[in-house]
Amino acid sequence: MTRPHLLFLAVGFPPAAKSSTYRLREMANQLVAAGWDVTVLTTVDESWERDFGVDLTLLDDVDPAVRVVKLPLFREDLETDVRLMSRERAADPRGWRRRHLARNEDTFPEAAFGGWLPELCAAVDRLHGERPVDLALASCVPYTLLGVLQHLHATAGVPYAVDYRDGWSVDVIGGDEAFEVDSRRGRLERDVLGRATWITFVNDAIGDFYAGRFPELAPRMHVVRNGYDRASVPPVRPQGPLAEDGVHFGHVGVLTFPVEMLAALLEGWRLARSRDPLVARSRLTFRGPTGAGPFQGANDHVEMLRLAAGDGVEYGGPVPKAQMADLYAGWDALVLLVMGGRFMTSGKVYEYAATGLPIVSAHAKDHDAAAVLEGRDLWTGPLGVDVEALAAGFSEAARWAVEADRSTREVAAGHGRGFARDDLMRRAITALTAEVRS
Amino acid sequence: MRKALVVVVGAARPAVLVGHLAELSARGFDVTVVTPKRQAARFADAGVALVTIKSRKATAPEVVARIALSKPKVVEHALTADLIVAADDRALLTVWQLARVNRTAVARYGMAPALRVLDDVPRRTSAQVRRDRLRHRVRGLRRVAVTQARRVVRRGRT
Repeated sequence: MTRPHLLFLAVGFPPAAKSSTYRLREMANQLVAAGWDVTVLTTVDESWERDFGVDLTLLDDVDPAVRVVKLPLFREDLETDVRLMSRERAADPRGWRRRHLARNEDTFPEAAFGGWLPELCAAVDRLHGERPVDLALASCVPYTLLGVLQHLHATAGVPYAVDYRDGWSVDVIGGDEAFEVDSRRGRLERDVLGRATWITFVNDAIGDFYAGRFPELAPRMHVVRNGYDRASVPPVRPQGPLAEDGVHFGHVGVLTFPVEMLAALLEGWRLARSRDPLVARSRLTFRGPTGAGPFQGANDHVEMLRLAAGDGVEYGGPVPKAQMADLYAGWDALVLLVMGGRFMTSGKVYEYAATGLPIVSAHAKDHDAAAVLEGRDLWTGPLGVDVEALAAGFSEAARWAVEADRSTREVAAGHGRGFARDDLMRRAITALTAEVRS
Repeated sequence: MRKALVVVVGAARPAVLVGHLAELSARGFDVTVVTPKRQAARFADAGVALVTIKSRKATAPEVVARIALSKPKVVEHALTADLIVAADDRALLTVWQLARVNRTAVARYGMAPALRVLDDVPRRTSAQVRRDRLRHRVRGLRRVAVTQARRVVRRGRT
């Protein structure tokens, strides 16, 4: 029997070194496992080299049955080849970018990606012509993919599902409505979600927001948390470092939080070092991509981290996915610095939880990461950006790192083990498949 | 040894910039930095050659580019460079214009994008350098000739 054909619009699929890439990979793998023939539509690797970069090790665990179609679409605003620039752009790069993004919105109301809509629509028409699509699934960002679903449904009657990794109409950082229901984007979103057979969100807060905004669609809405990849988490360490060696704290993830948060964290770190001899002997390492286009690896965060080198702080750049387990195995305690509030979770929190390592949390009290970590041992609780609290948190976590025994670490790791990504995605994709085939 | 010319006009993120310059040198490039005189001290320990230009903080990019291109030392470095980099927004127009003087060097906006393509930066041949130098001189002579002709026409009218 022929397997049904699913077109997965997954811009950011591996090897893109974006935080979303792990979710997209697991979804594609689970779709294959659930009996679909999966065609992934994304952009060429060169477009990610301009963005947050490429991690080829991400391809290792993509099911070979997944067919990947890559379109030569680029974010022109991230172009760094001076020879491809106009004089107008060279003379005023910021003004040029503003005008360029505004032009993109003429095509589809999304500044960075709106201009891609015609090429994306042409590509799905071609793919549907080659082999009819039984179900389309779009994982947003970019939201321009909603326009593609709309097009495919209007022209060929293809049913579709939507996976929201953030939420278009909710400002996940500020916590407010991003645009009104009757605005251009609001009308478009209502139209697309209204026809979707299945809608998923990454946490309860975003799910609740949308259930409140479109109550009639609530039965089709589901929360599918990101979870962690088992291969990225090392076995629980039986013991920590010797006190005389100090503690190696680590932070991993895209450095996108406001620079003021980093400044507060570093101030808390310095304060702890001035008060606590154990922290004074310790190190703090940041890993992860930062900045895009001309500012890749060169934003204010990196500047601040380089200037803090004298305080035992270092920035080690991005880390390939295949080396994540080794990275955690080399650290004694973790720092979770994430922006936003209840609408934000951070993909890394699940990995952090499952390592069993002590965690210093620098984020808002109502942050969804706090909901994930609530009740976990070896966790400081959300300390916000209060310098005194952070200093105390570093001292407490350093002491745990040295003193916690194996069973305490196992219990802490066990708290996170319920969030294995393959389990979460398998359940979600099985339910989606059953829904579509019923 | 391949040559890199880095134009730095803005003053943001000096520690990151010095780190990137060190990496550029470590990867086998003879690095020259073109920067306003007021910023020269930033590069004292960076292990790079410096060419300074006179420009103030608020000088418009067009003016910075004109000043840089009027300096023979800058042009000479640009003509022989294999890689030309704009380290910031305000250096971009200068590099755009230097990339018209040197038609074959790799020209990038941002240090990180430049570092990413280092393996693909070919060493320019002496023939390419000679051709660009000749073209630059001819353009210079043409500019002088046009300016003088305009002056003559203006005088004729008065």
